[in-house]
Amino acid sequence: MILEGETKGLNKFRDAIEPIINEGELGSDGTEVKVSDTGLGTPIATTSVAVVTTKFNKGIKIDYATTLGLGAGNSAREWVVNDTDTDELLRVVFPEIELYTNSVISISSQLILLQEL
Amino acid sequence: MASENDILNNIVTNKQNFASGDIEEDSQVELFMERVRIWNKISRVNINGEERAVIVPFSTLIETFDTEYDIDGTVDNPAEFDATNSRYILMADANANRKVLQSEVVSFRNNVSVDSINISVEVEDSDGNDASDNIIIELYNGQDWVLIHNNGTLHFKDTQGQDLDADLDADLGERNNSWDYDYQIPKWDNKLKYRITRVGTGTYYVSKVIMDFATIKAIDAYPEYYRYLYNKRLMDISDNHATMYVKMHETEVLTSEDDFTKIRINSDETLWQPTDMIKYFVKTDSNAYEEVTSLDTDHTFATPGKVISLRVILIGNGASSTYVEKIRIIGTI
Repeated sequence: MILEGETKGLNKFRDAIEPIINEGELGSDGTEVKVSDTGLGTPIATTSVAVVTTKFNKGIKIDYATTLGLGAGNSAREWVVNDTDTDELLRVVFPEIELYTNSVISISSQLILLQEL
Repeated sequence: MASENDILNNIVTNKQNFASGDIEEDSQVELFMERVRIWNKISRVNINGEERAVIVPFSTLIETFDTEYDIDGTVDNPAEFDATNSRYILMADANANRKVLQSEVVSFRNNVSVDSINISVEVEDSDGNDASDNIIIELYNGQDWVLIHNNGTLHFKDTQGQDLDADLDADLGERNNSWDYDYQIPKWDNKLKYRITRVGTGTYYVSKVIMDFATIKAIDAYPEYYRYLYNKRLMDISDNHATMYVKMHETEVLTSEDDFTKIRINSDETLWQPTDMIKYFVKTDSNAYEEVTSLDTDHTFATPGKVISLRVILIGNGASSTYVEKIRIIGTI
């Protein structure tokens, strides 16, 4: 079986993935998430922000936060995580959130690595 | 990097070695045959510090207890986190009564109906035997805790359906509807938690919880022209309530290629004083505004049109203590 440990086994995969998780971006398309999704339905301009990643055993926590008023005037219903070359790695859909000039939206997401036989 | 053919050929070679009993190659076969899945466990969406949504993708929560992120540590007698072994320990000793393992809120994506929830818990005693009989599992629907056995499924029924379960009272059955009568918000609030409680005095190890929101599906009956405005529309002006004010909010809420003939509005209102008032007006296209005099009742437009705008007027001196939120709008073509 695959060995587990800080830098072995699944954590080796984790360490390979973590460097390509760089940015998060909001969108306004609330259609259902599919495994084949490759990106935002409708991006909201200016909401691309660097994310903070935290590694834990067999997983990565991703924290994203807009600055005050970012995307104001739009309604957010989706979020993606990008590599710096804009390849989307993860899409999440949520109930509509209207963005105002006094709004700060933050999203905390977790990726976990699972081993299947 | 190896091509797909290289990998396939290698697997075939390893399989042949496996047949011939080569131990070193056997282990490689096992490596090849294992799959690693990257799973988005949970996403928590906050606005201005308030948790607004907790999304479990693809209708399944897999909790492997590698962190304490999604466990509520503020409950009485919380379970002990064992980071080394990725598990929680339920036990009683001279130092503490570790009795309860309770999750933070989880929920599923928007605009869906759920028929049932299945929960399975991996729990063992010190000898590695299944300890399901030594725990109580409960699910929280936003209003009540509902007992469920391990690997059990909790079924939800619609308002016209039969009771939720013969063992549950009718009131609870009604509140467990996936959606309320006008498709506004999940009646059980979509604020799901699970709670695992130790029974007796033994020591038990909880290593995994899997929750499946089974038969989840898009809402067939969900109105095509629907808008949900969650944010508050405030008075936001005040001089210590000495003067009467009027505050107006206007929003374009629905558009269609065909003419809207009717609209229905519902909302949650909060008034600082009973004398404060909240009034709703709607218009189509650039026609004149018409007052919607009754909430949750169809209003027929004098002049149908393709774009509906909503005007909310707050009258009074309640300042930010008077507001309207969660405005639900259904347009009919």
